[in-house]
Amino acid sequence: MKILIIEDEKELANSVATFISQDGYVCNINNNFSEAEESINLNDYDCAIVDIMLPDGSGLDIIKLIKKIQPKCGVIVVSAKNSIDDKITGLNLGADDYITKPFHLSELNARIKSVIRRRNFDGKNQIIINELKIDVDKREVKVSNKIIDLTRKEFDILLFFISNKKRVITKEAITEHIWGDDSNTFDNLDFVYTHIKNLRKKLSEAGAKDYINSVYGVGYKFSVE
Amino acid sequence: MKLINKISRYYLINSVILFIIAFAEIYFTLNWIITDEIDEQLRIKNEEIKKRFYTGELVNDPPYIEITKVENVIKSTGEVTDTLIYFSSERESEPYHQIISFVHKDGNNYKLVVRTSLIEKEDLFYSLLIIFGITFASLVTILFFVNRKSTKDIFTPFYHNLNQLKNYSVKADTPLNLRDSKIEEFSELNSALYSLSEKAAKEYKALKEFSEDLSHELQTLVAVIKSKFELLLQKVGLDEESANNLQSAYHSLNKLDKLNRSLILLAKLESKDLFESDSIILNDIVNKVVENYRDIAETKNLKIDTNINSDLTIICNAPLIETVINNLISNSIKHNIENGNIDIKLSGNTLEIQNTGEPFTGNTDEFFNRFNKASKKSDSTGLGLAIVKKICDLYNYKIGYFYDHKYHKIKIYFK
Repeated sequence: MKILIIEDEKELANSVATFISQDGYVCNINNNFSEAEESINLNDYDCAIVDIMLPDGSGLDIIKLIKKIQPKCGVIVVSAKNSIDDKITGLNLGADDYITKPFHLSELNARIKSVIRRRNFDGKNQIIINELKIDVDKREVKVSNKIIDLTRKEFDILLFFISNKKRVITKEAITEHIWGDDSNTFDNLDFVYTHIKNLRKKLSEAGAKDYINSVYGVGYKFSVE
Repeated sequence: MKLINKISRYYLINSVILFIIAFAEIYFTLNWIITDEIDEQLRIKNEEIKKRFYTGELVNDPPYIEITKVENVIKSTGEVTDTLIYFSSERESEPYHQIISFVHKDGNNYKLVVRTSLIEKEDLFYSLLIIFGITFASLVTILFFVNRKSTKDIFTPFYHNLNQLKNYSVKADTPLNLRDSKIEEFSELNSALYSLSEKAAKEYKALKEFSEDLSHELQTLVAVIKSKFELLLQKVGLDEESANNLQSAYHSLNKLDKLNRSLILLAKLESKDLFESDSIILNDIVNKVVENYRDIAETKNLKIDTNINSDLTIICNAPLIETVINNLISNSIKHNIENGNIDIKLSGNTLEIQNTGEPFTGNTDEFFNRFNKASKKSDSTGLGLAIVKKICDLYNYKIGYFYDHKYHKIKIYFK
């Protein structure tokens, strides 16, 4: 998988690249409009992360270009302005998703995975990890071919974990992913723990391995050998 | 007290003093002249009467002429003296001037008293009083009409300008529109106000742009730091203490991020940016938010009751109204007590959210102000309610807060 990161803030671009390349993705970083233009013309990408505000042009024009030259490439728009206009314009131009800066790397990663899955699995949006089989569209989880009954939030948490497997995910990132951007103002994030406890219980009762480990007070990690 | 009344009062008080002085001066001067004249006349009359007495044609004519036979003669001085004569018919005494002289005729001595009435002096006093009274009354009347006219001519533009100033806001784009005045002081005041308002508006705009720029710059920096923290947390082999330090720094960073986002949203709301509007079914939003937070409320053993009997549809921006409902409901969870209640009622055009909680100690009027934290809880940015209020203001929804029977109540009336 090849990912193009178009972001003028170099350090942020590096962080994103480091985080997502763990899954074996190849990342190209472009810091401005002209570099990005060249990359799009030269290489094929599976997904592009496009910052709208670039020093020498608008990310919206990049989206147009990608859609013209590489219609198969997924696009995620990144904007520093929490502007609804940018979101609507971006999505109307054919972008697959929209994320506001600052974001959790795990959140961006989950969205990249989701875009790639939607674009590459030809309608059969499935993830298989050992005995776990997840049908993303049907929102169904099977352990050794036996359906287990998860609540909406438990399912979303599991999917978020799997998208970020082998990485530490913070409680804050989980909270914002499940309860929305505005939910992070709660001081006590114990409610996250309750859901994860239930999820782990349901998975292990169905005979799955316990993949979810807690990491000190920081968060959780979905470990797959 | 109005300026014109104040000036009139000074004017009237000084006029009264002036009138009293003038009255006294005129009265005493005239009095002196008249008395002198009367006495002169009296002396002439006295001489004439003496002459006529010798010719024998004179008769008694009290109180003006009194002739009495006397034994002894006292040497007459010929001086004018004061006297009071009592009139039984009018039961009062009246002032007179008199000259007493003694004459000798046919071997007899006679006392001759010639008098003249001073009653004119009293007439003088009353005449003067009437003249002064009428003049003073005219003065007051003229002053009244002059005031009325000048209030209209001079102060109408002044009050118009005052009203403009009262409604002026540096936030609004409309500049001051003052009415010109031909009066120097007022026109100077106008130009001072113009330059003051222009300066204030300019500085406000600069400050606003600065804070907006600052927020956006911060956002990029926070994004970088946040991403680096997340990478650091991936490191295997972090000891527990480092992990905890990292976690608490990361937690604060997230709060900074939240605060900054709130400030950006507030700035956008204040600059009255245009927000796209949709037709929104309010109870869908309420139900969505309640369902989203129900599990969070349950960890605090809070009971959420929703009582929705209205299918109110409003025209507004969907993310904004979601923010309103979201902030209010998350607040009702945060500032609640263990085993507390949250009641959400939507009926007609009114949404009422009430929850149990410690009483709000501050001023109720400042409840929706920025950084007016209801409690010392560190998890609130202090901007949530300010944002709610600003959004309600944007759409002219009335919002009110009160504390009643251990319940915090917030009511929004959607027009």
